[in-house]
Order: sequence, then structure tokens, then C-alpha cells
Amino acid sequence: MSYLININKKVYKTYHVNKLFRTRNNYRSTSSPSAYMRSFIQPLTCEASINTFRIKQDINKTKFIRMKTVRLFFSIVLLSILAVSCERQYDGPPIEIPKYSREANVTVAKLKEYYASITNPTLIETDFVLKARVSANDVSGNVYKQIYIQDETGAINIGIDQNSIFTYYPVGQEVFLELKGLYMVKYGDELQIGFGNTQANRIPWEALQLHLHKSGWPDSTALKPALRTIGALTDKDVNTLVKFENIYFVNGGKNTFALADKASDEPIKDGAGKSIIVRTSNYASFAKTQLPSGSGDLTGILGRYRGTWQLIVRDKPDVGKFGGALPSNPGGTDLPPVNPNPPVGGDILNEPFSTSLGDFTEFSVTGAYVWKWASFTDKNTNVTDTYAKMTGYNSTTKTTEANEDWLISPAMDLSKITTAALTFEHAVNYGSNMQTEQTLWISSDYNTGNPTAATWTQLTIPTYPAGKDFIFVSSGNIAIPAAFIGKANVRIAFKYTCGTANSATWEVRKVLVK
Amino acid sequence: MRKIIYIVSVFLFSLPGFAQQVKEKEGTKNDTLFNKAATVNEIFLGDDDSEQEISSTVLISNDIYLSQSRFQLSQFRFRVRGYEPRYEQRFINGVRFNDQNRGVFNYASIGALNDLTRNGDVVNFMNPGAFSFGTIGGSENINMRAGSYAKGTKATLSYTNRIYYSRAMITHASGLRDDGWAFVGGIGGRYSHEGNVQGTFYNNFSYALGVEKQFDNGKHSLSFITFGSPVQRGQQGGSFQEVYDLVGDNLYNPNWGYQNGEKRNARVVTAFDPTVVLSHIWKINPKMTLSSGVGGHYQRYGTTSLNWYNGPDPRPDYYRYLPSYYTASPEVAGFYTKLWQQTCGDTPFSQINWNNLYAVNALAAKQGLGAVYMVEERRNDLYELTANSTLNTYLNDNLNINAGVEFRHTTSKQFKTVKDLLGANYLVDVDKYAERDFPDKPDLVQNDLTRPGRKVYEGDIFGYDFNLHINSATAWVQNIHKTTYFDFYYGSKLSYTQFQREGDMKNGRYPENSYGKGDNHTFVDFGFKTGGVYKISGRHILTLNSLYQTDAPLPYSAYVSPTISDITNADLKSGRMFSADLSYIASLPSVMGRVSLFYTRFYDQLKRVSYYHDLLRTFVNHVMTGVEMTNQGIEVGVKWKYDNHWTFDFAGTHAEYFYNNNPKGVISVENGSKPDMAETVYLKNLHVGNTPQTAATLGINYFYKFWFFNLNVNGITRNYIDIAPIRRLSSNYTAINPADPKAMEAYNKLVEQEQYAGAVTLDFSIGKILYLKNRNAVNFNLSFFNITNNKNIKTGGYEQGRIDITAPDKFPSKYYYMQGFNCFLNASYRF
Repeated sequence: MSYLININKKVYKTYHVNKLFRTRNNYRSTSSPSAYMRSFIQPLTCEASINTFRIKQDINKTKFIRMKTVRLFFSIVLLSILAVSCERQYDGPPIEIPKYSREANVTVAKLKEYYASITNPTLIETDFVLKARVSANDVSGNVYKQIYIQDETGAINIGIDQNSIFTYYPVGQEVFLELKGLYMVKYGDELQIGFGNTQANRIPWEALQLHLHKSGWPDSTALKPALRTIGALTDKDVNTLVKFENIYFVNGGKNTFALADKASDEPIKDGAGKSIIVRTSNYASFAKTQLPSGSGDLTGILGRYRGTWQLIVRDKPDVGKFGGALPSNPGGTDLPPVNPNPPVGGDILNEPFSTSLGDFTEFSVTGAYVWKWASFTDKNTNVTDTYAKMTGYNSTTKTTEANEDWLISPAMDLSKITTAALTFEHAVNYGSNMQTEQTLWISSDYNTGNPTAATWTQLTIPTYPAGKDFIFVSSGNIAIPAAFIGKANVRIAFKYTCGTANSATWEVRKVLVK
Repeated sequence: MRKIIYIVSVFLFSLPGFAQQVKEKEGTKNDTLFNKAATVNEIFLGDDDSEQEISSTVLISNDIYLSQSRFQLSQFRFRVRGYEPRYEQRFINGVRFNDQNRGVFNYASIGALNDLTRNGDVVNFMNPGAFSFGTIGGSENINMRAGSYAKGTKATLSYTNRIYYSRAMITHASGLRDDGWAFVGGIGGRYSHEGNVQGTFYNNFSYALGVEKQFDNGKHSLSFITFGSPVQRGQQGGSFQEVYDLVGDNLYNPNWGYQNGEKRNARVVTAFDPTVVLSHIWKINPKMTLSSGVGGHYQRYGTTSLNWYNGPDPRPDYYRYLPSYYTASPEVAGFYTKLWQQTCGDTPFSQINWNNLYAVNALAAKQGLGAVYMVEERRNDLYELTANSTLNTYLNDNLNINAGVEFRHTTSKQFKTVKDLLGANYLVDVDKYAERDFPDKPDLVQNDLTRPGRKVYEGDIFGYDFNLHINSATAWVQNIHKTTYFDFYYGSKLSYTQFQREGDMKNGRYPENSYGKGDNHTFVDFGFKTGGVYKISGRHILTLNSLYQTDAPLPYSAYVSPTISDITNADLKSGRMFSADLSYIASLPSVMGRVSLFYTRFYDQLKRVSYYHDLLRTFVNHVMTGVEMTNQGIEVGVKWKYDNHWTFDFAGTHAEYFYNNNPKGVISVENGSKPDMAETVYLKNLHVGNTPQTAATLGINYFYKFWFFNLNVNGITRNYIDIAPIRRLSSNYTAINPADPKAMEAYNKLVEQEQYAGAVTLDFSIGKILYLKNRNAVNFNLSFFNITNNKNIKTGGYEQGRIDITAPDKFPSKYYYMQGFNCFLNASYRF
């Protein structure tokens, strides 16, 4: 528009300019181009500009029409600009709190009772609704394709064919499980919820969504682990979330939670000497973490497989604070309650002397030298031996000093045992009178201090080494005498004596009583 | 006012037309082809990630075989002579625009600017050309000088039912004015709210502005042009045959899902490539011309995708969500089949469930944890500057010398950003597969050791961030001698290429090899070509061309894992190729055509493939070095003008593109769980995938009073799947006992290369040109493709990188299918 006006202004000085200013109306009112052109030309008085004006006229006209159509077309095309300039924005969908309307009509205990005698996967045909809370899932990878749910009466696990289930069902999420259509499966002599003909009887994910319903937001504090003692576990505790206090890892400070390519069973023990295995998968995120040393508390799911209890740690935070003093041995005080189910397969005493003398104590009756822990690495084979070692030889002065030293085991509770046998490995070098100088004794009345105060009975060591080198040999089976079976405070001791003429070097390792 | 209404209505309702700008005199037969050709590049190129596979063209070649096969067969993703797009050079105003990182031309940069990119010089295959040394796949020099456009305005409107449904363009050129100035400008756009494939969309706007000034009576001419075509589009994805069968639709798209009632596509491309070209032509004397040019462009290219951290796979067609996973229980398989077949509802099982992704993220946020699901955008930006100068001179009537120099500088910036956290609060920048395998090694899992454990938010760069600096200089010269019976030419070229990686993140798996400037790689390459024309008579000629050339490796395939380390292949060297072709060309009044035999052999090529390795459970890069390939075959292109109305044309090829050897391959693991594994890949005699090796098109054309009718019958066969190198490693099959028939069946299934079924389609088009007064013209064209609506034609696919010898059908191949019936209606008005 203004373009036109500028051209017009150059020529026009009459009020036709104003008319043309409202060009649209003017243009419409003229019936033909020529009339329009005439209206344009009429007021011209200046002669010199006629030709130039005419030329500008033509440009005006064609430019005018062209601009109109071009402008119209531009506006159609400009739709694309608008479409492109507005990048698609996506508002997130509304997040609503999960709700469930039905009431629960069964408990875990009742379910387990109802299906106690099944052998094959059994379809659940009753319309059971179970209310429970998620106690464990696959967040660390230690648990695989299952979750554990727990209510006041017990706990059970559900096999689910999906990875990273924890993203949908975090610990503490309250759920309602509609059981009709699912299957009760017996695995390892325990009941679990699963499906019919699927792989490992796991419930397909989409099918699970139809049965397992969430209610409310997850509350991780709602489910607290129950304090339990290893020796006092019952059927009701199967698959529940438990916590053991004052326990220690038998291989604490040495092994890792799992091996590089296989799952591991690592035993933990409490003050009463009871042990339970902690089973960890090599896929767990904490599999390569070293087992903590010292005592502390441990939380996990208490599983049972074919009658053997096992603890499944859910994730790193389940491993509590460790480093406490190892629990004291029972010597009459704090005896554990009578255990109706004594632990199967535990050793009474197992001391490899791998990093220290362990629970053994040493007492020097005569001489400056004492039983010590030692290790030796063979440069050829790169094998490291660790053992308890005693010698009366002074390597600085190259003389022998008279010594009598005792290496005394911790107390063994043989009260519930009917038989027991001792084995160990030992090596003797520079030995001359091994049968009298390197001897084995047993007592039931030693507590602490000088062993000569207690009553010791000698035990024969069936196999002695040659006495000329540091090669370990097994002692052979040494039966614990009947007199000591049934006693509570039984100890064995390694007694080393030497005079001034000759001192042997005695190395002992892998003491085992079972 | 009535005039306006008249013009507008003519424009909108009677579908105005188009008249050739420069080639008017050449005959109207090409008119409809011009119109059609405009459509090829946009409608047949989905330009998804596999765009790079499609050979395309901007200008029409005068060779019947090339013009017909390229247009008619590109819907089948046909590549001429099986050559990759990097062997087709594209110039604009004399400046080369194949990028230095992948060697390809970005056709999307001139999207919806077709009316401005119609003219230029075409050099077929290795034939000698004036503006470049050339290469085996031919060169095109698009002329966008403002003065070369005829004066006038042209408006075009199109409708189609493919990836976009409407297109509009308007261009205006002033022509070369008396004062030596010329201007040209254009605006265009393409749009669809949803394309023919569900979940796709297309938003594109284009612009161009050019000016030219001629000095000294046309002795010097300086031209400047700038153009760009920003686009945002939702992509299609390929899937498994089982999924196509379940959904009952070969155009199923797994990339989208409903969110708040709207379709949301997880794979959206946002691209913009503004370009500027300044060129100067100096006609030193009638026999000598010096053309120089400088071209620059900054390409922004980003593509989004879903990513997940320790969560269930969100892809709807993940193999564990398919009925075939539940082989043990037919009841469950039936349940899943029903789920897949329910396509109604607001969260259909067959598509992404965005609501679930948001819900999981919300749960994680409530626990203070990071995102489980997010959308990331992988950016592949490129800044490139090219300068060149070419001299054409005729020393005498018989000797024509062309020579040129070219300098190029490129910076390729590659990184990824957090596009959408899907309701989560943050994301921790670590490699998820390394984190799973090395939970005890916090340094290893970091993507950037200079900022370990960094939380990233929307818009932040994370994952990887590096630049590639590529520089090159080339000089070439070519002599053409002409005699009465014989023309012969020879030419050579020398080039120097240098590239270097510069990492901006210190990757935890390669702390010594990822941060800062890496090794500098330099290559010196040469090329030599020769050939000639023997003129049997004025109408029959015989031509022979040969070329031997070395090419620096493309940085794209030179680095083993460019995103995280600077390491390249041990023996990084230039690739070599030798090519020869022999043609017989006839040009009679009624019959013209060409028959050619061609043979091209590639040596020392690099091939890099990235995929998820099932056993190692992480992404791997599989690089093969010393790959040898052969492309050989016969081509026939014939046009027979029966009379003034009927014309028949035929273009066909029967060829073989295959691998010649068993190259060395190295698998490099991205999460650092294993060192690089070197092993021979058994590729010998396997076919190059995803281009039909036998193809033909027969056209029947009828012309009457400026009405054009075409019927085309197209046929393709011998199209093979793109192989996955992991299936050709012998270490996978050590457990196979040849005496066990079941094991051998699994072995054969995994090792055999699938051949797609052949296909025949029918295309039909009608066109009309109306010449109006004042040199105005109206042109309209209606084209119908695949009128038999054949929806079972596989156009592409790839074998999966995952493999399980105990269950060979567990990881089937993915396919892309061709659309059924589709049309393109085009109308343009020139005034």
C-alpha cells in the first residue's frame, strides 16, 4: 500500500491522492482497468512526467495484481511456517494415586495351609483376594524374576516373567492379588505363586497386570524386618523379611558376596555358634563387594530350599553396620535356648589360621617365644600357606632356648553331640622327639590363664610328618574321647616343648572338629 | 476486484500449470517428467535413518536408462549400479556439497525448493565432465544462479497421500535484467498432520533468496544464494513379520503411542541445513572460463528416541511381548495374540504405552531416584566450508582441458541431549550396561570422568560429545581430445585428506583415549581415469570409460567407537576402486538408447555396524576392514518413438553386487566388559543388501494435444536382506554338530541370506499443459503409483545382531514394506 502511495505522491498534488489512499474502495468502484487508469492519469498537468509516469503506471498495475495474488498465496503457504514454528509439546499424563476397591478375603497363612499338600502346579479356582506389601524385588539383581509379598501371617513369593520389576513394584508397595486364574506351585518344598505351562512357571507380565493391583503410594517404612535368631526359626518365618543381629560372616574380610561366575553360599554365625547361609547371585550389584569382618546385623528374606534355610540379601543397605567384636563363646552364661531343630551340617570347630590365630589363644609357660600366626609364599608355585607356628630357635643368636607353649582352642560345646573327631594338618622341621615335644591335649575344665592349672588328657596324633621339612601332612582322624562327649566347655590344645639342645619348628593349620 | 477473484479461483480450482523455464525448446515430452521428478525425492525418501541408502537425483539426465530407472524404481529403493550415495557427487553452482563425514548429499536441504533446482549439468557415471573429476556414480551441478531463471512467477500446489499430504511452493525470478542484476526468491512448505503411516507427521518450511550481478557485459558474473528447509517429522520404523501379521498391516509403525489422547512419536527428526553459496564466473575469453565458488552450510540434524535405565523394555514389539516367546504355553500365546489384535482403546498393546512410562518415572521420583525412561535427541551437526576453482579451456577445436582445485573444511559435532525426562526429576550420566556389569567400578561406568555422577536435566548434553575436524585439498586435471572418429580423454586427481577427533568428554572405559584432541590421520590419494568414444557413424557410438582411484576412509567408519574413544582400525588406509564400463549408444530418429556392461571392484573398504550383542548384553561396534566388493552387470535403456503419439521406453538391469572376500572383523564392546575381539567375518559371495539387483521398467506413453498419458510396468527381483556380520562368525557355531539335523537346520537358517520375493507394480499418470497468453502456462499432473495396491512388497530390511543357536527363530529380521496404492497430484501455474 505504502509503495503505491509513494509513487502516487510523486505525481499527485490534488485530492485524488486521498481517494487513492483508500485504494481498495476506489479500485472496486471502477469497472474496468482503463477507467482506473484514466482516474490515475486525469489530474496530470506536468508534461515532463507523463512518460515516466506511464511507465510507472504499468509497473504499478502489474505489480499491484501480482502482489495481491502473491500475497494471497503467501498467506496460504505461511501456514507451513506456523506449523513448523510450533514444536509439538507433550503434556505429561495426569498421575493418579492407585486405588483398589475390593476387600481381602484370605491371608498368606491360610493360602499355604489350603495348598499345603499339592505336588504339581495347581490352578487356583477360588476367588481369593490377598492383601500384602511388597517386601523384596529384583532391584539389585540378587532376586531374579520374582517379588516377595508379606502380610501379618506370613510371606510368599511370586514368579513373574519380566525384568526390572522393581520399577513397577517397589519395596513397601501395598498390593492386592486376585488369585483366581493363577497357579500355586511347589518349588524346593515351598509354595510360591506362579503360572501353568510357562518357563519356570512364571506369570506373563500382561497376565500379572490383570491380577496384581496396587493400592496407594509405596511406603518403604511400613514393612519392618522382624528380629530373629538363627537357632529359632519356624515355618511361619519362611520368605519373611528378617533381621539377624550380632552375627558375623565366617569368611568375613576374605571372600566376596558371590563368585565371579556363580552364586555363592556364605555362612554367617551368631554368638551361639549357629550358622545359616547367605545366598547371593553373581548378578547382584553387590556380588563383588567383600564380606564385612567383625560382627554386625544383616537383613534379608529368609528363604528355605528343601528344608535348608538361607538368607537372601535384597540390596546393599540390608548389610548393616559391621566391625563389632566377635560374639563371645558361651561359657555358662547366656546359653542359647534349647533348639528343637539343631543346625544340620555345621562344624563344631573350623580354624584354617588364614589371617590370624582366630579364636585360638596362646599361652607361654616357659620361654620368650610364643605361638604366632605366619604365612609363607612359595616363589615357584606362588602358593601362600598360612598357619600357626611355634619354634624355640633364636635366629639372631642361632641358639635354642627352652620353651613350653600352649596353643589353646576356643571352647567347644559338645553337649548335644554324640560323636566328634578332630583333624588338622601340621609340618615339623628340625624335629627330633616329635611324639614328646609336639603333643595334643584335651580338657573340659580350662577357662583362661595358665593351662597347667586345668586338667589335660593327652590325645595321640596318629600321623606325624617326617620332621625334616615344611611339608604339611594330615594328622589323621582323632576321635574325641567319650569322656568329653556331652561336655560343654571342651578345648583341645597344641603343646610345644623344647630344651636348649634342639628346637623344632612346628606349623599347624586347618584344625577341624566335627 | 473481480479480477482478483478470477485469478484466485483459477488458481485454486482449475489447477494451473507450469511451463518450462529454460528447457522449453527441448520438447514437451520431458515436461511431465520434470513435474514428476520433483516428487521423487520427497515422497519416496522417507529420509529416515535409511535415507542414506537411497540413490536419488535432483536433475534429470538425458540418458533414458538413468532418467527412467531412477524415477520409476526409486520406490523400491533401487540404486543405480548398486553404488552407495557417496559415489554420486552433487554440486550447487559449482561447489561440492557431499559432506566430508559420510560422503552424502543432504537432499533435505533443498526440500520443497524443486522449482529452483531443476536445471544444471549432468555427468553420467564416469564420463568426463567440465566441473569435476567425477566419480563412478555420476555428478550433477545444480544451477541456482539468479540470472539463470526465466523471468516470472511460478506457484505450485500438490496433494499426495504419502509421508506428507500437501505441498505448496511459490518462486519469483526477475530474470537477468538490463542492468545486470537478477533476483530470485522462493518460499515453500510441506505438511501433514499424520502421513499414510500411523504416527508419522511432517512439518516443513523452505525459503531461498538469490541475487546475481553481471559485470563487464557478462564477462564476470557474481552470484549469491542462500536457502534452507527446516523440517520436523515423525518417523516410521520397521518391525518383524510376526508383528505385521498380528496387526494385519504391513505399514505398522512401532514408534508411536497415545499420550493424553494424542499420538506421540518417539522418533522425531528435527533438521535444518541453511546454506550459502557465493560463486563467480569469469569468461576470460570465448575459449576459457574460470569458475570459482565458496559454499558453506551449517547442518543441524537431530533425531529423538526412547532410552531406558534399568527398566522393562518399552518397545511394544520387543520379542518378549510377542506370542512367539511363549512357546511352552499355547494358552498364554493365545492370550498375547488377542492383546495384539485389539487395536482400539486408548492404550493399545501394539503401541508404546506412554502412560506407563510416566507412571514408572513418577514412582522413581517419589523415591528420590532418577529417570527410568526418557527421550533423548542424538545430534549430528555439521559445519562445512568448501572453496573451489575450475578452469575450462579449449586450446583448439580438438583439445579441451578442464582443471580444478578444491579446499574443504568440516567440523562434525556429535552429541546427545536430554529431550524429555517424562516426568522424572533427573538422570545420572552413566553407561547403563557398564553399570550393570561393573557395579564395583564407579570410574568405569562414567560417561564423563571430568564430571562423575553428574545429574543431567532437560536440554543438557550427556552420554557422548565429540567433534571431528576434517580438512581436504584436491587438484585435478583432465584432457579431452576430439577427432573425427575418435574422442579420448585422460585425467588425474590428487587429494590430501586429514581428520582428527576431539573429544569433549572423558569416557570411563577409555580414559586415556577419549578426551581432547586425538590422533591426526592423513591420507594422500590419487585417481586416474581414461576412456574414449569411437564414432561408428553419426548415429552409433561405442564408449569405454575406466577409472582407478583411491579414497581416504570416511571418518564415519574409520573410528571403531567414535562416540567414546579415539581408537581407529589398526590398518587404516585409503580404499581403492577400479571401474570400467563399455557402452553402445544408438541415436536414430525413432529409436535411441544405450546398452552397457559395467564392472566395478572395491578394495580395502571399511564397514561399520552397531548393534546390541545378546551374549555380552551391551552395544557393540563391529568393524570390518579390507572388505572387497564387486558390482557388475548389464544395463539397457531404450526409447522407441512409434509415431507422433505413441512412445515406448524400457530401462532394465541385470547385475550382481556382492562381497568378494572374508574380511577381518573386530567387535568392540561399548561397556568395556571385554577387550576387542578380532575374528574373520565370512562374507564371501554374499550379496549386498537392500537394492534390487535385477530390475526393469517398461513405459507406454501417449501424447495428444498436450495431454500426456503414461503407463509403467515395473518389476524387481533379486533383492536381498542386509546381513548382520555377527551371524557369519564361526565362533558362534562351535557347538553345532554336523551330524545333528536339528542343529544343522538352525545353522542353515541363521547363515543363509534371505532373498525377498520379486514384485511387479503398475503406475499410471495423466498430465496436461495449457499455454495461456503472456507466456503463462498451467500444468497439472496426476500420478497413481502401485495401482494394483500390492502391499506385500518388501523394500528393505536387516538381520538382527542378536543370535541364539538353540532357537534360530527367536530373533527374526526386521522389514520395511512398500505402501499400497498412492497418488501424487501436482498443479502449477506460471505467470
